[in-house]
Amino acid sequence: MAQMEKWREDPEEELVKIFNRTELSTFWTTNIDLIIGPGETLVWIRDGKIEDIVTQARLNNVAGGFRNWIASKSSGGKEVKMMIIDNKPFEIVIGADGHTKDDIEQSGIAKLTMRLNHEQANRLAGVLKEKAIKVTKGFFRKREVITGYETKLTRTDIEQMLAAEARAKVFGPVIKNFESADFGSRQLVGKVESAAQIEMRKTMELWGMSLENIYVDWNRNAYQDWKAERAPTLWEEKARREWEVDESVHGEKVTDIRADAARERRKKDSQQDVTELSELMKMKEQMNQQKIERKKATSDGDLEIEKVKAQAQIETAKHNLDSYKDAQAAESEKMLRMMEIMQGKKKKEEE
Amino acid sequence: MVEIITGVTLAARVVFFVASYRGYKAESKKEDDRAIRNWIMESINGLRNHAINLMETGYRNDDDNLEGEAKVMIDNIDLFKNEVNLAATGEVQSIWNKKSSPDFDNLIEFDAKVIEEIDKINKIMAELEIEINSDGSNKIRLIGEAKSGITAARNHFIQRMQFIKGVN
Repeated sequence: MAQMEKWREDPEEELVKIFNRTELSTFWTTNIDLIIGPGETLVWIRDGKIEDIVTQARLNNVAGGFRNWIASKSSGGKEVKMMIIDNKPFEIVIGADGHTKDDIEQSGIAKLTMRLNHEQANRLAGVLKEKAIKVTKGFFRKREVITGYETKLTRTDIEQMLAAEARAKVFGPVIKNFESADFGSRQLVGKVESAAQIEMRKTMELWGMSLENIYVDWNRNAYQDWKAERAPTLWEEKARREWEVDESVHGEKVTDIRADAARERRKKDSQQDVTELSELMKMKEQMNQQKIERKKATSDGDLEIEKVKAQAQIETAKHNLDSYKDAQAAESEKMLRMMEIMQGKKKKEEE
Repeated sequence: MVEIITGVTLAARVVFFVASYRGYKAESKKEDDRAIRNWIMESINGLRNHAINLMETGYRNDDDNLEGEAKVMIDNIDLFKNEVNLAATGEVQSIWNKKSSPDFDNLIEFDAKVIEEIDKINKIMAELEIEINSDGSNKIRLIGEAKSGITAARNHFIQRMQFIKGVN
């Protein structure tokens, strides 16, 4: 019955692990199965050369069985190593600090999403070769002796490998290009990402890694602290101003409403006045009409009277004329008689 | 006869890029698949390098648009890479055991499509880099072609994955 093994004890921390197949096979456990899950890659290295790359598979009998254990004990067996790589994206955390353009200290926590490239497995193996295990030996003359190489590459190792370079080449220069008030801006986020991709590129490629994403959670700088401390009074002042503005707006609204109401009332009053006035005008007009009619009637009567009077006068005049004529005729007759008398008298005298 | 000629032609298109490719012959199925995926991964890394070069040009010259376009390309390339990484090889084993020649021809066709599309993008991006450094007039067109090419290659690869799953 094969024994099922997990390739790492701490999946959160261990990202690469190298096994010598001879380490797996002991007298007691020679038959081990291993599952390479999604996002994991197993690289077989035989005599220092990448022989096979396996993903998502169950590997049966990786230890090679009892025969392999026997072979490993002899010098004739080939050196077979298997390197298992977790090539899912993982996150590391690095401190970011520097001075802004206006010389204010700025710090933050940078979170980098990275990936180990299994196709560059030889480079990852090289990273582990860099990590020699040294032991101090000697009694009188102490000396450091390399007893082996690290077989694990952990998240902490990668953080330590990148932190100093990232601080010096990415965060410091980028922070220096921005004012303290700019922290939190979208432009800064983009610049950090670009700078990290460009400046860290060489190191990443040398070690068979790639940077997938980066963002920085910036701490509050002195300017922002000052702003935050001043902010309550500023807010109070702002709130007071806003309240005043609101009040004046409200007051204006009330005044407007009142003015509208008064205008409405006046309008109604004036409409009533107009109605009443028009009624009065009508009445007055009627009265005037009546008066005119009355006057007309009176004047008609007067006219009639005048006519009558005039007729009477005419009649009187006529009568007077007739009387005058009669009187004149009588007078003239009288005169004639007198003349005739006179003439008779003269004749008599002459005679 | 026609089928054989087509198969040979398709495989030859792939062999042009991957010398060890043998068109999923009985003894080389896993090796061919691995060779194709390795070629894709390495080529995608090359495309990513082109995109980072473009981003660097934009970053150094304060060209935010170019920087942004390069960033979009890098994001798409990373997603493509993730798909290639996570594509199952374990499930492919069942297709290896099948003897259906048309299935393998289809798979070879998918391989050819993905590889040729990636090669095309590689050429476009190389031209784009030159165009940008010499301030040419075709920048916008080439950026568009590169972006759509990355998406097209990614889609071909997804179709390949779906085909492999479907054959099981």
